[in-house]
Amino acid sequence: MRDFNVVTLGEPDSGKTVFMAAMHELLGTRAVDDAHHRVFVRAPMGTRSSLVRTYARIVNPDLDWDPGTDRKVYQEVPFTVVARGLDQTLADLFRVRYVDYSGERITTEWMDEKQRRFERHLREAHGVLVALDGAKVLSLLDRQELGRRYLYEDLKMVLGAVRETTARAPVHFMITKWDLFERRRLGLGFVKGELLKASDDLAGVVGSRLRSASPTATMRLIPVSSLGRDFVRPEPSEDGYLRMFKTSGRVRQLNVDVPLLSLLPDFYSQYMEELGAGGRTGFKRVLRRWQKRAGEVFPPVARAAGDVTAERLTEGKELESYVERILLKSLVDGLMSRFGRRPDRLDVRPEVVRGLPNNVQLAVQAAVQHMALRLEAFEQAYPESELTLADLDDLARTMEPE
Amino acid sequence: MSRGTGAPAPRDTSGASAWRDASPRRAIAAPRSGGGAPTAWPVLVARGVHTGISPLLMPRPVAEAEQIGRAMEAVQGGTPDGITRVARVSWLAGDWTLLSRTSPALDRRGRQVRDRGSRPVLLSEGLLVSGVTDPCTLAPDAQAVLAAATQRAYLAFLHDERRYPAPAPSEPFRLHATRFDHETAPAEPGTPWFRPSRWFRPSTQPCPEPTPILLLSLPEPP
Repeated sequence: MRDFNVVTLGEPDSGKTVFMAAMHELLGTRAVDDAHHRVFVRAPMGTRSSLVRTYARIVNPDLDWDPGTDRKVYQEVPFTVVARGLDQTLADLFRVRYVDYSGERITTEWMDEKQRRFERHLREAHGVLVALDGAKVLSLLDRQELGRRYLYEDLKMVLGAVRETTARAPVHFMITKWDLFERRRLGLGFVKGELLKASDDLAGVVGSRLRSASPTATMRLIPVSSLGRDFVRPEPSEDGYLRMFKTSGRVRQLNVDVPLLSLLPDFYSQYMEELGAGGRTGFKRVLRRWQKRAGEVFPPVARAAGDVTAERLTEGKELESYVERILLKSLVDGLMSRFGRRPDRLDVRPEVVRGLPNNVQLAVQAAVQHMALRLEAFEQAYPESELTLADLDDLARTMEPE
Repeated sequence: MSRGTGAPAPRDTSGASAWRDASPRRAIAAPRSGGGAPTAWPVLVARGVHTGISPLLMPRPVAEAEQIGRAMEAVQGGTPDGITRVARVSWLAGDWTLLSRTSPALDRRGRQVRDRGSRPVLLSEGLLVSGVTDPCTLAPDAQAVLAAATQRAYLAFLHDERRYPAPAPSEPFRLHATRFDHETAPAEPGTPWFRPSRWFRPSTQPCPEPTPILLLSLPEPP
């Protein structure tokens, strides 16, 4: 099973710990109970208990918010992503290693052993999630002092840390505390435009990553709410900040599963690129055909698929496990049925999975479809969520002097 | 430490004196592990409203050894229960012990300080003691000096977080060490500082070897 290192970058109080606990609640607790959920995550017992305890404290309206994560905390959280078939067959797909840490590690100048580990994790990250604090982004839109500070201090530091990661690592941005924007009826397109306009740093990182060596880079701006507008009541304080109060309202997460699911096609597109270019043109042609159809859902995988050689994929020598092979194959051809047609012989490449248990194949395919559908639903709900070079071109046009 | 008013704690030596007077016969005497009186440096690590975790007070020996990151890590991490943690320091050359504890950060009016994310802020304060390697605890008079130093520093930091010169060097002060065996050690004398740390053993439990404990207090005035 492959391991993917994921780092969530955000300054102190940007919501990293709450996000991780909420994501585990959705994908590691409720999804497990829901037999129709085709994919869920599993954490080791100790980690799970810790996340469940953290989440329980967060959603208990009688308890104060937890203090910020202190420097001593440096917790690597390994999530195994598990596929579940219609017959409840389970198959471990891959493992994601998140890190929970104090946000000061991004800005600190004081070295210790955990700082070295954190920096190593940063450099070796396969995927980067950037938590943009919704409360501070809102202050920025409102032209408040806090927003200015955020722009010139916190955001600058965080984007500096993004630059430390390898250029090929996919990056997605999350706007946390999105419930604050919902209350104000602010749309994602507007917020995206204002953010890019306000922060040259952000526009620079987005542009450089999109133009980076990886031709498959996809970048998303994902609105996330770990607790929802019914549970948190914001009130302006005397010092101009929004103070968050817990209410006895219902906790409702928004899109906390999307960041992880967004990374999956990125990971595997990188993987396919690693498998190398060349090979049988016939198979590449098939992949390109697939690219036109299923690529609408997993564009990065589709783009990368054009370079995968048939021989390497079918021999499966570089692939670590049979589930891995099924997963790759599912990403390449498993989505066909969603487009109303049966995969033809050329598309299927039965050699890839010959001899493997059928129920496992079905489970993996079901999980891939589930993830693709979830991403598709997200993209329909937030069509402006993808960050593209066209956004930067639009920005450049609006900034041109008349 | 006095935390109710947010004002610097008065220097209260009565507790220590009373405690010393109460059990003079049972003290084994003999001060500290090395030669000379131990010296103590306050340590303070905390967040502000705007600023992340910062080294607000740091002993000069720590700064000179470029171990501020290690000291920050060592002093942080407790729960705000007032229980003191005592640990030998391995990251400085020589004999050092660090006593540390975590408590809620209070502003000048005694209100809980909250950061921009509305989360309560905690103070991690400690005392780095030189020349001591035995299990030790801090008498109320020394505790009051530490509390005054850390509180003064934190209020100055809160007043203007951007201009606070972190890490500010802490002022050292002298201590007097008195050794007691474990049966006479102050397991629960009523102040949070004296609650059993992990080096304390309740006297009711069987203990194969007596554990000497150093009580660190301010030196008697001449």
